[in-house]
Amino acid sequence: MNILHLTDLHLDNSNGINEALRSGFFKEYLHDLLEYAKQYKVGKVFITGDIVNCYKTDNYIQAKNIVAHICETLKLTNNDIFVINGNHDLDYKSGCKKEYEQFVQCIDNEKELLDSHSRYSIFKTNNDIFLCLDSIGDNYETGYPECITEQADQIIRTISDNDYENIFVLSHHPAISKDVADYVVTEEENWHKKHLWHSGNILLKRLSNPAVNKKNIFWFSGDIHLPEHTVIDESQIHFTTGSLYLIAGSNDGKIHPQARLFSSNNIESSQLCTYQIKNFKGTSLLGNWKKEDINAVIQKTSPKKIAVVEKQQEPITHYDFQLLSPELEREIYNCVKTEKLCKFGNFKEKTGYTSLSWVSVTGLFQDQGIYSQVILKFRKKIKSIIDCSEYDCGDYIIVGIDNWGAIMASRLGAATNINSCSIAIGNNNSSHLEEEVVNDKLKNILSSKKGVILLTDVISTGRTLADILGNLDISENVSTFIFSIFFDNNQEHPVSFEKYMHLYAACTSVRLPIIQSSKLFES
Amino acid sequence: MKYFLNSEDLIYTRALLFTWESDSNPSSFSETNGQFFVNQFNKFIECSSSETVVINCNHICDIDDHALKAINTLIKGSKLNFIFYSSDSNHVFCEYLEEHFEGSDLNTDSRTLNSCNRFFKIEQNQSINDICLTTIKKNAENIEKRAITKLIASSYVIAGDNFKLSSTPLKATGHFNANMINSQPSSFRWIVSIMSEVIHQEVTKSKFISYTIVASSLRGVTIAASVREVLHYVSNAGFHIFDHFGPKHDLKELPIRRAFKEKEQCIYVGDFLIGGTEVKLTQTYCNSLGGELSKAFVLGKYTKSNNLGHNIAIQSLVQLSDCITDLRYELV
Repeated sequence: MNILHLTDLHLDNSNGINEALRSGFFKEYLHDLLEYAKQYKVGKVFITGDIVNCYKTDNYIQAKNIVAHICETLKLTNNDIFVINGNHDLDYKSGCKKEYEQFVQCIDNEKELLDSHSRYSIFKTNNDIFLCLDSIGDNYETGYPECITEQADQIIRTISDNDYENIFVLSHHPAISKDVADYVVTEEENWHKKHLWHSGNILLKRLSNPAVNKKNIFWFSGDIHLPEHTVIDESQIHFTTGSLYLIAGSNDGKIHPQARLFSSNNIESSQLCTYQIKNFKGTSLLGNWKKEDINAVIQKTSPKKIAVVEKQQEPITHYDFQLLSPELEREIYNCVKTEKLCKFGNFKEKTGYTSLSWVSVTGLFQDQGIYSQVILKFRKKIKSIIDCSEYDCGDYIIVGIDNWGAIMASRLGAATNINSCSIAIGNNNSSHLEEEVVNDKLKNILSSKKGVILLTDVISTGRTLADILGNLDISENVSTFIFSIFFDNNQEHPVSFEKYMHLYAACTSVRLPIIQSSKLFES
Repeated sequence: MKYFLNSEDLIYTRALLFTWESDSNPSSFSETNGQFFVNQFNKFIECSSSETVVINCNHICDIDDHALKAINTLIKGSKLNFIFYSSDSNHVFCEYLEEHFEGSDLNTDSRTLNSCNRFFKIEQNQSINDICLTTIKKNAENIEKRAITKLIASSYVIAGDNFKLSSTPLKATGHFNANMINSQPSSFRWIVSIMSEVIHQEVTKSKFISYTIVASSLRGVTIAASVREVLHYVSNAGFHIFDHFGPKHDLKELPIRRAFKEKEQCIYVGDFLIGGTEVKLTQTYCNSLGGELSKAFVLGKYTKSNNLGHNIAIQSLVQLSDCITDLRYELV
């Protein structure tokens, strides 16, 4: 199926003279874009909210005109158009969305409706499921995304009860952001809280569970006014697209208005169409639509198995894993390779596993630039974790493991105002002071915290980490976030990371093979 | 430790304290840092009656275009004297101020005293001559010294009878725990800033062209690595960890090591020095890898001498006996 994704029209004054989507100009404005869409053989159009600006409901008349024009040009019917509301479509004082509902009723009235609720509608067309979500709910005053947990069970039931090829989900707020958040979060306070729909992310995880759904999930969102295309585990495909609206004279230095073309047959690329105004700093709206191929950011949350390791007793299960920056990873990988920082050998552990390689972090961090980059990426992630939570810095503690963990812990503590501590491991705990290993004092401190951020340099088999976490007696109510410079997620680790939930790494491409010691020759 | 230290006469701080919580390295001072400085200052000034603000600008090597926007507004809106100074031969901050305030209505002046101290003063309630400038700087440093002494004293943990130090066969009534300092973000920022300044002055004086900072204990490495980061833009130091040999030393556990360049100057950075065993061991290992360790920098030392023997000069931020007056170490 070929899709045109539009979002954030923000129709403000359709009869005025400033907007590109105004009644007297929208056909000219959209002409080339719809030509591209026609060539692309678009079969469905998704519009992910903020149809009008600031609840200026008179503009739904123009919204209808735009939809009708798109249908006419692309030879589609209303059954091929899927629309959801954004926060601007609701009255921020009362939450009323009567006018939006009237508008969308005209578009949806002939579709096959499987289930509906004030927070969602589920349609089925040509053997595909279309889940249209309201991510705002009762948060109309702030426009921030709101919880949808209560309705999630019913959504799952309805979807599970049907046969289908693909699921297409539309929400105004994105359920994830793997790329954009990294650079936007520092420019806007509480960016995550305002724009990322965590409850939607939980729904996504449930929908991704093979017990519920074995097919691809395509999730389209708007709101953040920036483009992103991410593919997770080859089955969850996420899009956010920048806004379509354009006001004369307002685009100086901003992201160009845009739309996206996507084919479900090729999940790893899409075409981003951007409107580029001819006289950049002037007030004219004349310009050209240009399209370019965009490759998706590929993410994997579950490790692949490799042949050298036989199936372990403890199964690998799902956990949240994230590579913090592909660019930084490349830099680290190149440094390790050039400086020959990785040595292969036989690094046996007492636990029955052997690491077949060793990497020098001290060697890597002779490059101060790489060290600074790692610190900045870790810092950003820690800040975003706290911004997203209901707790503040005082509720968290950073724990550094061994020398490089300790170094990063104090450094990141100073950069985030979170208290830190360090613990030593080594092969023989008796060579460390009592204050340097896990002790009762540390356990007491941890018991009063809501989140623990563990920093380490290398995760090889994961046993050390598991032992530490076991010794620390961290309660189930405490969120644990693990940051490691090196983590080879292509290995099948003998421990499960599931209970730790969140694992972030700076480099996954340096191979750190592990093997059961019994499989090795003694020599 | 707070961002600002206070006495009856003056308020003292370091520009470097305000740069850690930003998206660049600590040696860069950005617009956000400037705003952060002003926010913290406004919180602090409510409970202070001092009329002069002294800002140590050492180790700021880069300043954003609008870094002083908020500070400028703060200065103009207050009736306080402001003295900015640097003594690290870099002077980027003071030079930027000179450019920034050129042609301003404020009564400003810039001075270079004792060949390496650069001052930029903004007089709003009294005239400050050169003698006053030097005295004010000295007073500010004394405030800092007192605060650091107090901080290190707070890390002292009283032990029971028969407590023995781990690395040296000495009996003690207690021990200093650097974890208590490193774990507090505000204390850590102060410690690293001061340690960086002391090391930089010594490296400059000794005319080291290249050198490597070495550390050999879990508590020492945290300070050493951040000092190296701060000093990176003024002196490109190497960094080496003798992993896992202090304070309880086990030769068998030393990991793969790299060799130094021939006669590489090594500088030891650690937490506390009582008998000096850890420093001497580190020196031995440096020698075995081709380096030369002749300088050690610690937060506190017990020995009164500034030379450990084995040609190791020691510099300490404080004398531990100044922190705990009845401190005693006895041979077992």
